Amino acid sequence: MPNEYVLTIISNIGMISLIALSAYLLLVTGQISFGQQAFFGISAYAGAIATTLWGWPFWLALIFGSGLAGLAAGLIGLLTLRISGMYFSIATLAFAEMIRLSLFELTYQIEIDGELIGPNGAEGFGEIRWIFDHDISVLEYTLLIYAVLLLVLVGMVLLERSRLGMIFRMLGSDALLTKTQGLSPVRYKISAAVIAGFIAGLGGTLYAHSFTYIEPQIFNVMLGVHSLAYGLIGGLGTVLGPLIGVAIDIGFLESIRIFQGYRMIVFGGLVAVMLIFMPRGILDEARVYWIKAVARRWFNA
Amino acid sequence: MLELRSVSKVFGELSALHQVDLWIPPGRVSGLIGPNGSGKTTLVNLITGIYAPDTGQILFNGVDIVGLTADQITRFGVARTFQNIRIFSRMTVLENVLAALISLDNPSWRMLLGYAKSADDPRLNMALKALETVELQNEAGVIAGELPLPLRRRLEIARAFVRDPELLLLDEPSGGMTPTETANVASLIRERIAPGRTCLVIEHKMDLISDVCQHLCVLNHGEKIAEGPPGTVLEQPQVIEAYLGRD
Repeated sequence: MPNEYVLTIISNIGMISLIALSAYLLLVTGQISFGQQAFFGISAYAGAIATTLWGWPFWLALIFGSGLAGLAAGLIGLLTLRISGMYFSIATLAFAEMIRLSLFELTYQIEIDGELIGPNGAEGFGEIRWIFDHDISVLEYTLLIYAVLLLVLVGMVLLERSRLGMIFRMLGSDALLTKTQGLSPVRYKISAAVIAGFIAGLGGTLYAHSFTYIEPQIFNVMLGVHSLAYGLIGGLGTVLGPLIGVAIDIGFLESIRIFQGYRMIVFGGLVAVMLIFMPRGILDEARVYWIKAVARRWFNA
Repeated sequence: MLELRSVSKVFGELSALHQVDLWIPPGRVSGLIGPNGSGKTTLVNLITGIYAPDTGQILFNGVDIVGLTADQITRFGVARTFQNIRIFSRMTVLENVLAALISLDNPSWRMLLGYAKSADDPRLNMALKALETVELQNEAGVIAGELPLPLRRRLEIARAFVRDPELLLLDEPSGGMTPTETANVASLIRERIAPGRTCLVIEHKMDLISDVCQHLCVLNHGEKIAEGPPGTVLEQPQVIEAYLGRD
């Protein structure tokens, strides 16, 4: 049985993969969002409030937190519809910062068993004890995280094979050309934003219940930058791309002692090198098609 | 079919089109020619809703389409290619053609969430047939960005006509091609694309225009200077002057 440190890294990879997949989905549609951490944060707080203060079942809290994140993402998608490129990125960053700073002001505490519990501004929210109340081991919770991640991956693979997935890729390739194919980008950009927000939200609620303590500072811009970088490193040709990015960063750079203290330098350098030599990541569209073609030939033989 | 009435478009200080009247007869191939900067592509962009005219009307089957968005105009039955080739370069050739068919009917969520290349979907057959028409059936699985230029042009044409549009606008379909490739595109348009269809071909190459068009309009400095059968139009002094300059 793997020790708790290894399990924590593995579960961290799973949870961060969800926000990476969220940023990836937007990257596929041609939108660079620096704000997915906001939806991760909204869901972390909402999901944790639902289980800890309202006594909701975990699954309901997960759906509630993620749904709220999806809704917020849809709203931001609506507000940023007419902007693109750098302006969209700045707008998403500004929104995320607005949410993070609002969380510093969020105080919502309820007396339970004679004690005030709940989010308390900058002090954070430290009584998220669903896993303790239900006697969930680290291994069990890791399995739960990966069950959710697997469901999301299956959903995203199906999405990529669908017409909606094709429209997302069309938008990412050439939005004007997509319009001249009779498709209004409005509907599809908002759909992508909602789905991406929901996926980030799944990660957020899982994160809050895994670490049992959250504070606004966790959901800062670096989380958003990392989630973007994972897709750009791993590749934009397949949903496995961002997972590879997460595995390289958290599974390798963060976990191996030799990189301690230098992780961000190595990671930043890696992103820069990737953007120069492989701008759409290791598993970009061309490589994915090549791998699929080889696999088909091999399978047929 | 398509009629432009006093259409004008100004970009800053530049008058790209000034009071242009134009009529595209149904079921025939019309040509639109003019020197560089004469307003040809601006006119196509106005018809397809990429720009809105400052003044004037654009009537398609009697309906004024000014103010409609590009996607609405496409669904009305207008399809186009681009002077600077625009393809979904990271998608396969087949996917590029399928992309044009998604909006054929008003797409429901059920349809959108369905498998894009389902064998039961009549769109797949339509796309394969279109690729066969432009002789790209063997490249169906190739990434579009890897095609050489003449085949990219063919792919654009396939993507534009696969919806069976009422009006097909071909913006410089032989742009960047050698004389042999140009002749091949001309025969493709004449024999396979144009029959029974209303087309507007924007071109510089007179041999292609003479080969495929039955009706011709000439623009110069944003104004229409001639219109009529190609043989007559190309001999008019103002057309010769626009192309060759004054002595």
